[in-house]
Amino acid sequence: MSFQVLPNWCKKLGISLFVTTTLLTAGDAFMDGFRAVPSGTHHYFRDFYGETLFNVLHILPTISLVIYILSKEKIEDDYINLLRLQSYQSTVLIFLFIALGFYIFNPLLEFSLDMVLSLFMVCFLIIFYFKKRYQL
Amino acid sequence: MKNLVKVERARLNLTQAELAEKLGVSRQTIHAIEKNKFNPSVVLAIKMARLFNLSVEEVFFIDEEQ
Repeated sequence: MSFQVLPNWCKKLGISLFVTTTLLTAGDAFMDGFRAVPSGTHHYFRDFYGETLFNVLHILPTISLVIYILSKEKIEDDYINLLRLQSYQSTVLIFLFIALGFYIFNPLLEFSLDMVLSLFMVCFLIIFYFKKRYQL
Repeated sequence: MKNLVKVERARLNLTQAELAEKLGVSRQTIHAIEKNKFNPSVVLAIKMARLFNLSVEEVFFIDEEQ
């Protein structure tokens, strides 16, 4: 059973949406990190867009990554499916070990779900790209 | 399992991309088959053998030493 339910052109839609919405919303977080101040100190973009629009724009990068991941490759075949499954497997194991490491050193550490989801999908896409490109 | 895909492809003077296009698979798949990293499905093996005008056993064979 294949979960690649969207056509190939949705990849372009997903990546364009991801870049656009990330650029539109990441400014505050970037400035917080750049100036090494607590998260939420800068709120220029939040004030500019308003709470509702900012929250929508904040969710869109994650949704656009899901769109990208669920889109078909130009040519779908057994080998590409195998590479995709191996990439999912590697990503899950990497996240499992990282999560276990964090849990061992600090059981009370908390992460936001959108960050974990985005990191998971980006990690999967990077592994899948290298597997496809360099036959790892 | 070993195969003669690279030899037969060279005999027909085809690139990996051209062979992939004829078979309707990706170029990466042809590369992986030639490097023995991936065993093709029965359908793909038959398609390849037909393209090369050989039987499947002539293109793909089990290496007895392994």
